[in-house]
Amino acid sequence: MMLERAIILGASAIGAGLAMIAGIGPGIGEGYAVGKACEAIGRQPEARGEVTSTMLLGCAIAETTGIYGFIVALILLFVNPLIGKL
Amino acid sequence: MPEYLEFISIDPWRLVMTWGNLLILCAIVKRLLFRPVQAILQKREEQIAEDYRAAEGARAEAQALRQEYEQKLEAARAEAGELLDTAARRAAEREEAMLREAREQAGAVAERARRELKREQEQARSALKREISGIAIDLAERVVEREISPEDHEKLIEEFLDQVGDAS
Amino acid sequence: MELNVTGARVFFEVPGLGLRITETEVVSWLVMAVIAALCYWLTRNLQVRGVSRRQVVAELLVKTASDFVKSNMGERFAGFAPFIASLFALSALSSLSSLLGLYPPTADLSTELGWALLVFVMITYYKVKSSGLGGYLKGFTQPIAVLTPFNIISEISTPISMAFRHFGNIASGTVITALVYGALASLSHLALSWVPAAFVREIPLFQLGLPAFLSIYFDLFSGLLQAFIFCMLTMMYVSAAAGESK
Repeated sequence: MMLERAIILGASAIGAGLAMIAGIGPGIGEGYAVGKACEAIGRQPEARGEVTSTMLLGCAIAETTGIYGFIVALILLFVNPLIGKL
Repeated sequence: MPEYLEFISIDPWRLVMTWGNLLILCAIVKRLLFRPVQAILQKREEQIAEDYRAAEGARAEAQALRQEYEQKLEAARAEAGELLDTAARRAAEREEAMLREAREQAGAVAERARRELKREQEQARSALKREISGIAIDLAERVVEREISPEDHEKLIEEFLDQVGDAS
Repeated sequence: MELNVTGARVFFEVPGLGLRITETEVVSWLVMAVIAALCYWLTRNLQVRGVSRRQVVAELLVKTASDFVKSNMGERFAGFAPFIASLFALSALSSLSSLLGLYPPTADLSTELGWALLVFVMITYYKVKSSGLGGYLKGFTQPIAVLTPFNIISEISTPISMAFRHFGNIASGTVITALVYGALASLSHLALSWVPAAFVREIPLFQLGLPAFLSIYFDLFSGLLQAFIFCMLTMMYVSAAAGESK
């Protein structure tokens, strides 16, 4: 019983770590988007407000998949759903 | 130990409560905030439109009054011009009349002078005729007192003619 | 380090129905009462001329909401403004209530799932209204018939992604805040371990300043941004669904 619990808890922890690899995607994508936004501001400084709010809007939507990974990690760590399946 | 829900849990009752909450709040916001404020905005727009229309009306009226006034001014000016013209014409006429009068008077005076002159001429002629008759009578007396030869006769006539000639 | 990442606390359970009154509902009702009181207070004694500052704020709110909705959805959806405004207010103020130490209702998945399902129903209704039931069903097979399962999945993923985006941002914010508090508590416990008096050792000294900075991002920025994005996505999906009739 303890061994099974230990394996499940360990596997959950590893799974949570692996789920957080999904954080790479939004990092790269949003960094690229912010770079493009900086270029746009450099080309036309008067549009700063518009460009900034559009960029924030787009970043918040692109971050969704990273958040999905974070949720999976949190569930595995704190809700421990797999122990109930024992 | 109070009971806690799971980190992620879905409960149909809570879904229903969420729907109820959202719809009730939507009704509250619509009735308490949106309707009164939109009514006020509508009223303000109507009032502004009315004010605008009244201002337009007043402006049109002011335009009409101004046009009327200008017309009256034009008419007055025209009348004044006419009056001036009439006065000038009358003055010119009077001037002409006076000139004519003056000329007539001058003419009359000249006429009178000429008449005077003629009268005097007549008078002078008649006086001269009397003189001549007197001289003729004298001459006749002299002729009667002596005998006149034809050469003396001619000489007397020539003298007489010369005298008459000098006198006239 | 003692850490309990749990959901809402259950206050009351109606026995027959399985209806549980939890912190979610209670704080939701609190937020609704605050919004209703604010609306009522803002619209007292409205006048056409000689407006007070209160009325300026009320008119500003209504005008901002109406212009926002009209610019994103077009003129024919101007009646959506109260719905979008109340959705935004509820979401934003619910997330912000975590600044006061309450449990934010938006950290409970059922709240966001409820809103997302309501929006999904509205989207489907407008799609069916604009292209008919047959057109709606045929739209799934649209580019190629092989893509039908993918179209169905993408259709279903709309409300799920909206719900999870909102929930993930807010709930992860609460979890990270709880973790930081716990870490700071053990840190201060470690720092004060030389003090002989027992209760002084328990004072979480370092919890005093740092979480405030975190809550600027997690509570203020993230809460407002997610509420805004939820409303924006609602407006765009509904106007896209209704606009396909042209």
